[in-house]
Amino acid sequence: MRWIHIGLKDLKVTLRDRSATGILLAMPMLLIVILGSALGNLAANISKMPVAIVNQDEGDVGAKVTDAYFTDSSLTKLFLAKRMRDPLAARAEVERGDLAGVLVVPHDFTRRLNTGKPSRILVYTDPGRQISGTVFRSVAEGISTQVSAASIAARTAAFYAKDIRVSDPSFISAVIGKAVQSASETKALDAVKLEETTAARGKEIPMVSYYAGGMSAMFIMFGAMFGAFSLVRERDDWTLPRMMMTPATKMDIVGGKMLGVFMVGIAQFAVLYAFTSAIGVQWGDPVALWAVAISLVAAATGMSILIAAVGKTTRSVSGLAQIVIQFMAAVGGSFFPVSQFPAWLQPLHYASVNGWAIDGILEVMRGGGIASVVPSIVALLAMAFAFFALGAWRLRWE
Amino acid sequence: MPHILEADNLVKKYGEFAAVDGVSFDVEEGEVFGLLGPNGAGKTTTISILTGVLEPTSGTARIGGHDILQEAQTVKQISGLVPQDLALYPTLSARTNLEFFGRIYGLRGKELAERVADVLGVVALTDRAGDPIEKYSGGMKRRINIAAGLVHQPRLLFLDEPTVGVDPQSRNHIFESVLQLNRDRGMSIIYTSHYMEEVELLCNRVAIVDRGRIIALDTIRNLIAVLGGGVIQLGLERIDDDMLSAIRALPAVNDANRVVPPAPAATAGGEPPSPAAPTQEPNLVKIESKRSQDALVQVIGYLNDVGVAFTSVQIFEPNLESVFLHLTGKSLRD
Repeated sequence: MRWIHIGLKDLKVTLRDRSATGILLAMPMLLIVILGSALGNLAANISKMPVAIVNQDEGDVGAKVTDAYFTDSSLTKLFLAKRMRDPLAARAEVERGDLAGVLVVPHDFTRRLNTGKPSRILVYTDPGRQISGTVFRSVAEGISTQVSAASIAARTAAFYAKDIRVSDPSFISAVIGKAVQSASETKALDAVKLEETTAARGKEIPMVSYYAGGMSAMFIMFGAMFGAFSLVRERDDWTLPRMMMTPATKMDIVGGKMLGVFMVGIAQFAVLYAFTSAIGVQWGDPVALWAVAISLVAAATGMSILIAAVGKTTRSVSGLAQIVIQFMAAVGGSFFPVSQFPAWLQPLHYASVNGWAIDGILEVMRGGGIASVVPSIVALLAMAFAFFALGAWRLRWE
Repeated sequence: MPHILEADNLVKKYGEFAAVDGVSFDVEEGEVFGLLGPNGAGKTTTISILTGVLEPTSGTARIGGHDILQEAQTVKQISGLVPQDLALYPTLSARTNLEFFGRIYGLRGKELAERVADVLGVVALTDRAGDPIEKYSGGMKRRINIAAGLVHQPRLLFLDEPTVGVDPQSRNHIFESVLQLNRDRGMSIIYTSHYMEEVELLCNRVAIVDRGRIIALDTIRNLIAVLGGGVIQLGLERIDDDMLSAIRALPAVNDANRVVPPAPAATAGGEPPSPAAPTQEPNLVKIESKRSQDALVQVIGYLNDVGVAFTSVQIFEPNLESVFLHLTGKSLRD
């Protein structure tokens, strides 16, 4: 059990290091409060809202309605719209947080309008993006109103036109007036009904909660940097050779070092969890959350061995760790929500520890349970294993 | 006397460079054995191989009868290392450091507490055991560094340059500790240093190491006997070639030469030396002899005969420094 003593020693060394505890605990607390407060309602407006338009209409009215999202300059300034065919796939993207909303025009939309039957447009929004959802919904409402009015006007005109003689222009005017009058009646506006649902992901996530997850992920990765430092420094300071000349095996030493990083990460998350809960962050199901957190810390622990193996000296470890951590934090969404990134950049967050961890944490915050975070846990544990295997293979002992 | 250590043709290469190049030596149980050599001679690399920190490129060694590669775990239990660098955790207390290394050696509970208390006593730091090591003086850190190598009571202790950067008081304390461990507990010690005085004071036998090889190995007495004598340096009222020839011809004198005084050194600012600085004696003669006392009597008799007074006399007895100089042509501190 020598590895346990090595791990406990590392935990003690880290806890005695005031600068380390300051960076690993005080900094994330500060940033969660500052970023959460400062960006509380701004995040949704930072860039165009990503939405999907699904037109299943077999007639031509659906196309006219949906084309506006791609051709009308006032709408293209607001939305980054993409066409999708499958409404279920589009809803799944909203649930994943990749889209702010989906507009679905059903297949019988034109037919029902032409036969005077009520039709509907379905709007599906992300509750985590309150502002985006409101804007998207308002625009859809406006469109549905226009379509309703046009539909009623056309039907009214058609009703009276069968009795008119084309040579009588004053009668045509009267027909149009009648159509407008009909179109303005409240009941008539219901010809197209806006059917709105929101993603079934529970409550909205305030930005302070978002940053509780984002900063926790980033600073647990910083903890991994300290772990990498610790391993290289032990080599330079001769405490590693001193351990190597004891009966401790290399596996004991690596295992102990990993245990140290792991315990520091868990302690870090526990403190941040307690602090953020005290300021009102609602993390959700603790079992699912801690499953994600433990997987995150495991990935960070594996990363520490890999950085120590590649870095070789404290200076190179520092430089390498900064690059890796900042990159992962940036693309993974620790600084800004991934949904605010351009579409081409968003998939990159799957390449980062932070991305998977934040996905999992947000899922739990939205009310998800352990089953909903399995993809994040599997991805993080796979990263942990890959980082450790590569690191242990490349680690220099002399 | 059985051997606690037998090293056989150890080699450690880094590419083409051989840091250790065929080192073989034995250490007897209860012996204090010195490895003397300048920085970079291969002493630390040799110790690192023997303690399992480095794997040799070739060769083997046995400690306590156990092969260092095949029976590494057993070897590690019976040997201890005090590395040249302070291999400690500075933010932790001395006691916590010692307890950690004790636990790594498998010590637990009461036995661990007793061993820690014991080694704190050996290095006389019981009173400061609870302080973080970063608050210790350099000498105290060195002493705790030694204690960490003793906590599991090794039969063979490797001390790698343990006095580097240590004040005289702490240095004396370290010497006392080493002698006490050897005398009172029968601990075998391998002591590396580039300080000739330390090795002369502490060690029974010495291996002189240079460029990864052992160039001489014997007791200090026998090593010094290689030189066969000492050097007398005389300051004379006057000296000329005839006088030098006459001195060389004396029966107890091997050789005599004029000492060329070094050029006066400029000060840091490039100014000439201060007039108040002592001047070099112009007529210095170095006389080499196998029997310094006999040579001195004969030279003084000759100077009386020719009526030349001497202004100074210095006798340099042979030591390991001069042996190293003799063997390698360079100083230990080069």
